[in-house]
Amino acid sequence: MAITKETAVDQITVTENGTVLYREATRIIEDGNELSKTFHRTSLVPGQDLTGVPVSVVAHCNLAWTAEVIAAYQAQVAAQAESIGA
Amino acid sequence: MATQVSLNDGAVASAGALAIQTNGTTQAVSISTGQVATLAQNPILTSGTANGVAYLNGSKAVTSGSALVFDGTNFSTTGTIKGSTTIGVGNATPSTSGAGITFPSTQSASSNVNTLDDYEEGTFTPTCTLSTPGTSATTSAVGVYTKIGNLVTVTGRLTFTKGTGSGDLSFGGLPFTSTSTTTYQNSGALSLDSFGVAGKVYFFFLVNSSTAPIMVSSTQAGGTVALAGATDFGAAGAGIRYMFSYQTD
Repeated sequence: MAITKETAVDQITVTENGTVLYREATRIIEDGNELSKTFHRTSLVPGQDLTGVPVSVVAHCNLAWTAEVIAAYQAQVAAQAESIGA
Repeated sequence: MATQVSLNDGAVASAGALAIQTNGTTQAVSISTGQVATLAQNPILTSGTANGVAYLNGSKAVTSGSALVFDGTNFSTTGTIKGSTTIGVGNATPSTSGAGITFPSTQSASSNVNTLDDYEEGTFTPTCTLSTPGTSATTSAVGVYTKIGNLVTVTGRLTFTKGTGSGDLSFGGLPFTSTSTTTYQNSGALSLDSFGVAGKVYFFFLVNSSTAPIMVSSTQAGGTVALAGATDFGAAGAGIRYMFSYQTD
């Protein structure tokens, strides 16, 4: 009777403005049968520091985050700040 | 009244059993219109596989009484459905614990507004950042979320220290992006610990257009609305507790 714990990135989503969201699933498995599963989600905005981010997610970020995407995102955030009344 | 029993094509019955078997036809047993076939207590229908499979294929809709009907595409019943454990939809493997409905791990979105098509619970790590980060830092950050359909509710806490940072404050790391429909901007309550300036009220303001971070806004008692920022923090770390809901696409 072997019980193991496995954590893996099971979802990666890249949105239109370059935001990358990913989900890590942690599974507790006994003799091949899944006893429990939990999720942890993380979102990353264009240009964000990727220290500690799983390698597979970093690969998506590096593909999606061109200089143009990062600049457009920063402009979007600035425009939103103005809309609030800064 | 004519009574007919046909045994064809070399059917072999074991002791105490009757075998009806035909070759070249899909109809082994025929029951005439208006007649009733009665099964004894605890009958088992099996196709001969390990788990047993029964195929039903009728087209007549039930108009009275309680019945289970399979019309070739859908199961329906005029009564209620009672399940003692879990039901998986969208090819989801039903949970082996508790009782409830198990949705697919990845949402299968429905365009029908009366259809619940997603449920998920989990954790996330919230972050606070200043537009000029400097040495600002988020610590002790925890968050949990529950997504029901297109509505996400998050709750948790974090500690933020501005350090040498300056500028506007934003809140990030949300588990799902907010709706891209610009009409729907969401706000939520904010609980503070050693954070804030006298005379101001603080609240979350979820900005539109699917950006994951939300801005933290403040309003003065007089009604002026402005972005919260580094000037709202003292030198010591500030504890922030939050809970709010927002819509996704």
